Formats: sequence, structure tokens, C-alpha cells
Amino acid sequence: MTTKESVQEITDLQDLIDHLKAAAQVELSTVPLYLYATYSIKTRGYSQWAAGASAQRTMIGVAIEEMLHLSLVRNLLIAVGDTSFRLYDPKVIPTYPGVMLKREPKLPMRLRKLSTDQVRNTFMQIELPATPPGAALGEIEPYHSLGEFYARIERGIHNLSSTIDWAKAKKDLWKFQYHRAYWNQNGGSDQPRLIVDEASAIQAMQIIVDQGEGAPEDKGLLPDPIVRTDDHPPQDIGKWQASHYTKFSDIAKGLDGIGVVCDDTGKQKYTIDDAEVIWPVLDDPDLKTVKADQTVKDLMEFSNAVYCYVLALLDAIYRTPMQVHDPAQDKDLFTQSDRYAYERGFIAVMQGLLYPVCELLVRTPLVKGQLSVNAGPPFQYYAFKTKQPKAELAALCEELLPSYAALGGDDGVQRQISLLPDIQLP
Amino acid sequence: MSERPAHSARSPKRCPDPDSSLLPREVARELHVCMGLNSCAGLDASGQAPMAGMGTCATVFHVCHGEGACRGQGGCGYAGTDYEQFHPGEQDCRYNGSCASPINESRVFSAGPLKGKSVWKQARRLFEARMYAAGKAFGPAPGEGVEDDRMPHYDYMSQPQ
Repeated sequence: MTTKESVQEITDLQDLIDHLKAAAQVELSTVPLYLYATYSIKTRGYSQWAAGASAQRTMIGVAIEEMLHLSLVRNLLIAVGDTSFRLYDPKVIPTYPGVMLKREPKLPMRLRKLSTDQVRNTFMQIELPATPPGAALGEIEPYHSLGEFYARIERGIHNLSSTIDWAKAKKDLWKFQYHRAYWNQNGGSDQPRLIVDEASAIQAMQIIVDQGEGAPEDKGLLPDPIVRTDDHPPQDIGKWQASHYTKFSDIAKGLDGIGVVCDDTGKQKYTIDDAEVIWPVLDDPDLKTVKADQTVKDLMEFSNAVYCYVLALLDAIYRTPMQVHDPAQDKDLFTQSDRYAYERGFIAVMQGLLYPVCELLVRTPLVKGQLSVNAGPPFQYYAFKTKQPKAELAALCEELLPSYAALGGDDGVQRQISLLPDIQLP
Repeated sequence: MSERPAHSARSPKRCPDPDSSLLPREVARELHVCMGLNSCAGLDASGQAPMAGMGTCATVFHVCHGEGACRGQGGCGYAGTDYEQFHPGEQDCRYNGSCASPINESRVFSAGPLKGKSVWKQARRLFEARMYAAGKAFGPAPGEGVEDDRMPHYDYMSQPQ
């Protein structure tokens, strides 16, 4: 049933928690889309003569900022007292093809190679600037842009601030939030922040909205780091960033491209729609239905396992508190910290495992000898059979070595698995 | 059940224990970003390396991209341009380095020709090339980076105010 009444307001803490869990799912659902398109780019490097910036690096920067947004949402979930949320959960992990959670009108979410169509009709729609609110439906009413959704959460935080136990957040719960281990060479300077009061919570939501779709009347440029201002574009030269919407718009127009030039005029030789520079990866790979060689299917399943290990490791980070140390009182060079190992491992597994496995997939035809369609990472739920996912990853990798020798060696995926933290699933 | 991370068998020696005599000297005689990268005997963090390449830890500690105060201090792997990331421990000038020092053992490059590959291994390759170019002997490294669970001071957390 549909009603056309006023926009829903968040009226109690559980409602706020439900909205934040939905927000976390929305943020998570964007990351595989952006990574899938990024992995599909064949070329490396970028000509110094090419106009614009590298679409590949821009895409990586956006994907990392979506991870930042996910961490900010989850930090807020912790701050308001919910420690139950898990990413490694079949009910939370998004499936493709799908639709963006609770968004009206429906927005298809599909894993597809980089193309003008994918950028214009999916990525730019995800980051679409706010439009006036309209229909309402369901327990969490739909939204028409992420800005509208987060504005509802901002109002909820403000209205419920007196009932949120900020003192507990500042005293204890901050230790469970994600704060260190964030780098983004290709994005804004905002970082994961501890959320311990209303002001830090609101600021976190503003970072998510402004980095994504931009601020009202921003003219394409935003302050860096994000602050709400009427000064657009910011006058402080060198301290600005573009919203995701603007960045995708630049890629769709060809301003940010592949980086292979015709000559030193800067004109790019290829666009993101050219087969010479984009791998022919299949749309929405699904391990249950894909027609491929068995070894390719096994590699796709391995990528699912690696992806799910990443999510499980994030969950382990969020249930392992940081310790308080005073360097002035500590003569040690280092302190042993399991939490720190998880954070280092989290960065390493994305760069040293997920990337090389996905990169190997997109270069591999689904069927040997047939070069028209290549494999890709499905980003699906993988059910670990034991509580020791690291050991399972090692076993899966071992089985794949006869077919994919690149996974082994002195500096390959197999070595990187040996360095992962040995987390236990709950 | 404990979630204590397993340590790699590839790193038989840890960075200096806190209360040993292997702590860095007040003023380092050479600046390098991890174990196995000292260019001469006794120029490592402890001052006790028997020869080049056998030092047990970094002599410089800094947290991030562009924070190295002298040449050769970039750790690399987390941020930086494609070119910067190819040269861990080998930047030509201060502030040109990319990422934290010391290098932890699981750290891999996030960009550049070695994207996804070990940062420490590349730092060691570059070190060995410098040693061959200089005509100097060097010994085996005691490990391939600092264990991931060893947290340096710059990442310590304090209670929010």
C-alpha cells in the first residue's frame, strides 16, 4: 500500500538503528559495482600528455570513499549502542543484479564492465543530487536520493540526541569504532572519525552526502575536508574536492579517461567504450548459473571466499576494542595489538588478495579458447564450512595452483594468505 | 576462543624487544625504513648489525605519505602515485616518500607496477641493487617486515575528550 503523506521522521532509537543498518547495506552495495567496473580496465599507467585524470584512479578513489562512508555509518551504529550488526551475513551481503535498497524509483544495481552507459545510467544515478521527496512505503520509507535518506537520519540524530547515551560512546564504545588504517590518494582528505556526540555524528553524515552527491549549490566543487558552507567553489585554492556525481560526470564526458593519447595534444585515443582498453567481462556473474570451465568457476568461488573474508575481518575489527596507550609513558618501540593486526590485515587482504584474484579473473575467458566473454568476481556470499576462514582460503588457493600458477610463488596470493590474521568466525 | 593472529614463519626475528639493549640510538647514523635495509655494519636501529642488510628494524618512524623528513624515508604501499610507490626507501628528497615507516610484513603496493605485491620485498630489491652498485657485501635480512601486530607509537590511541 502506498501513501503520499509527509516524509517519515525517525522517532525512536530502534528506528534510527534500522535506518543506519539500511544505510550500511546501501553503502556496501555500491562498492562491488565500482570495483567491478574498475577491474575491467585493461590499461595501466596514464600518459602525462593525456587531458584529464585517470578514470581508473578516480574510480578507485570513489570506491575507497564508499568504504569510508560505510565505516562512518557503522561507527555511528556503535555509538548509538548497536554492536550486533555484521557484514558477513547472507542477509546483508547484496546480490546482483538487484535494486538499490528502498530507493524510489527503483534503481537497478548491476555488475558490469566500465562503459559510458554504466557510468551515466547506474553510477551517476546512485549519486544523483537530491530531488523533492514524494511517496512513502514500508517500515523504512523509500527515498529518492541518498541525500534525502541521510537528511532523514540527520534529523533523527538531532531529535533523539537526548536519548542517545553519548557518555557511553565517549567512555567505552569509541574503542570499537574504525579510526585508523585509511588512505586515499585519489579522493578527499576526510578520514574515518570517532563518533562520540551529536556534532561528530552530524558531521559524519554530511561527509557521506557531500562526498557522494555534493552539497546544495556546490557548482561541482566542495571544501576539502568537508564542511557545510555557502562558499562554492571554495576560495582557498588547493582545498577542494569534487563529488562522486561530478567525478562520474567527468568520466562519462570523457574528461577523465584511459590515458592513451594520439599525440602530444592530449587527445585520448580510446574511450571507456573501446574493446582495446576494457576487458569483455560478463554482466552479473552468478556462480549458480554461469556457463564456464570448472577451473574458472573454482576461481570465481575463491574470489567470493576472499570477499567474504574481507567482510568477516571487518566484523572482527568492530568487535575487538582498541587499547589506550600514552606514548609518553611507554618506552617500548611497539606494543603488541591484535586489533592493529586486524587493521593492517584488512588493508593487505583487499590489495594483496582481492585485487590480484579479481585481476586474474577479468583476464580469463569463461571458456578456454573463446575470447568473447571473460570471467569476473561475483561478489557473492560464501559459506565458510569452519570457524577458521584463513585455513579455508589457504586450502582453496592450494587447489587452484595447478591451474593458476600465478597465485603461488614468493610474492603471490598464497604468501599473502599466510600473513592474514587468523580470525575466528563467531 | 582467542583471535590472536598467527605470526608468519617468514619472520623468525621480531623488531627489538622493548627492554633490550637493541633500542634505537638517540640519533640514528643512517635512515632506513625497515629491517634488512642498513647499508653498513652497525648502522641499524640497534647498532649491532654485523654487516649491511642484517639490521633488525627501521631507524625512522613516521606515519604517512609525505611525512619523511629526509631522502629515502618513504615506506610506500598505502598511498602515492604510481611512480612514488615503486621506490620504497629510495625517495630522492624529503616529503617525497610514500607511506609509513617501518614497513609491516603484509603491506603490498596499492598502485604502480607492483600493485598487489610486497612492499618490503621491493625495498630489499632496491637495497640489494644499491649494494651491488656500490660493490659492497651484505647479509641476509632477519625477516620481511615488521609483524602486523606490532603497533608503533604514532598509531597509539588516547581517550576522546
